[in-house]
Amino acid sequence: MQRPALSLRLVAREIVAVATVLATAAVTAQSHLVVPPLAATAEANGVEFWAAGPFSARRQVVLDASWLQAAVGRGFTAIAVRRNQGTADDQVAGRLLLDIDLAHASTAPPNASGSFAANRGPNATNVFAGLVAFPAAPAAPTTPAPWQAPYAVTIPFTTPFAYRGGPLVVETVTRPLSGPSGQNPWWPIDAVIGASTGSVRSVGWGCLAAGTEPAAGAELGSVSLGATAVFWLRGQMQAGPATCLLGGDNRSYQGLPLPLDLTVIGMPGCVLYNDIATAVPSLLTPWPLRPDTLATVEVPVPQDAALAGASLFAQWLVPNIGGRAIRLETSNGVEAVIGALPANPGAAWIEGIGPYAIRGRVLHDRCPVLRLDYWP
Amino acid sequence: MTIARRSPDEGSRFRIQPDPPVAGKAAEVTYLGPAREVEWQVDDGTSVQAQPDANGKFQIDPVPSGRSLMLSDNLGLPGYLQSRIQETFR
Repeated sequence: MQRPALSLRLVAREIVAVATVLATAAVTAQSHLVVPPLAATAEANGVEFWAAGPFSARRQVVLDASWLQAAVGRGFTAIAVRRNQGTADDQVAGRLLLDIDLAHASTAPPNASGSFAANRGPNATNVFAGLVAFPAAPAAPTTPAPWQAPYAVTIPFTTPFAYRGGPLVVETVTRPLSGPSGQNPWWPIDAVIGASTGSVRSVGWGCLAAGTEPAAGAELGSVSLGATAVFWLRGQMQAGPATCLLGGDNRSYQGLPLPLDLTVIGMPGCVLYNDIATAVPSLLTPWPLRPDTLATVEVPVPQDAALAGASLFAQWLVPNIGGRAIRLETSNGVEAVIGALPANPGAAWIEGIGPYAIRGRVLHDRCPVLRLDYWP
Repeated sequence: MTIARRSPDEGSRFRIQPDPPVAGKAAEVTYLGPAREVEWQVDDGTSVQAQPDANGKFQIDPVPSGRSLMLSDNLGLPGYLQSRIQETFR
């Protein structure tokens, strides 16, 4: 039984070798395009990890059809990333496990969903699955960095993707390796990042017995049309339930003027800052190595131009359980002004923590610089 | 170069140099992630907001004395890093 198995392995090895030669020949005859197009000849303004990040994540980038016109009717055969040149830091070598799926998108970037499955249209194909080595790379002598090692990493697809046109989904699942051989790469890649269009401010004060103020806030870059706004609460509170009170008005609550002193309902020192259009349950979970706990809620902001400039208000309600008594406490308030969708976002960025996320946060302000190789 | 991590198999969106940070001296933080604002805090002191530049960098100058420096983007575990502060002795 051993000998035939060995022979099979040798035959397989030869097939792989032949395939590699063919692939190399194909590579020499390939064309390529760069997204976003403005990064084809210039360094982009930002930096991101994207799939080269040292932590587990599932991501999608939905690319605009206009960026991909040159490849309509062709087949994508490889994808490449290049190092960021904005700073001269050395890239740190490492390896990680990467899955890459390509699919025709079911929607254009401005309407992308937080659901990974919903964005994937027909012909979803796993084009790569395996180990990717990122090399040590000093700053390149030219800017932008050339599309060659060690300044760029090219990932040839094991299965080409036939592209028919329309927006494209590039989905990646990154898994860092564990153990002593699993040095994670620190490989910031070139990326386009737009300016924030929304704004966030803290309002008033809270009555939380524990934690520093302000304990509540919102993630600035997430507050825009079509994105997933993230509101958070953090402090030295007990792990357990917390409720995010979301409102659309900060002037009155059921006819009572805001801010509203809650002393009269047994919450001395607590103040209500919004009209509580809805209450979203969440959970304060412990952070490692610190007494802090963290709760977040994610609020998808509709892609409706009429909402640009509108304010979304948030405040947290937290039960403080001590002995037999439960005291309700409130955080500071948060006002998030919804920003407009960038004029031409060109891409949607969806990121979920961990390899098995089924939903992720949607952002429209960023896109990794990618080179896509295709059959000529 | 040492990259501070939370656990052997999970990385962080943060890197700090020098690592560990040294009390009384400047530290450069690199943050690569979706947040526009991040925060840092030494022990139980006041939380400080910081806005990384286009290359994800900002300075903590000087690093206050204390046991540990916490960096956070408030967006889950990959956006969290805690480093022990190295004290300088005269």
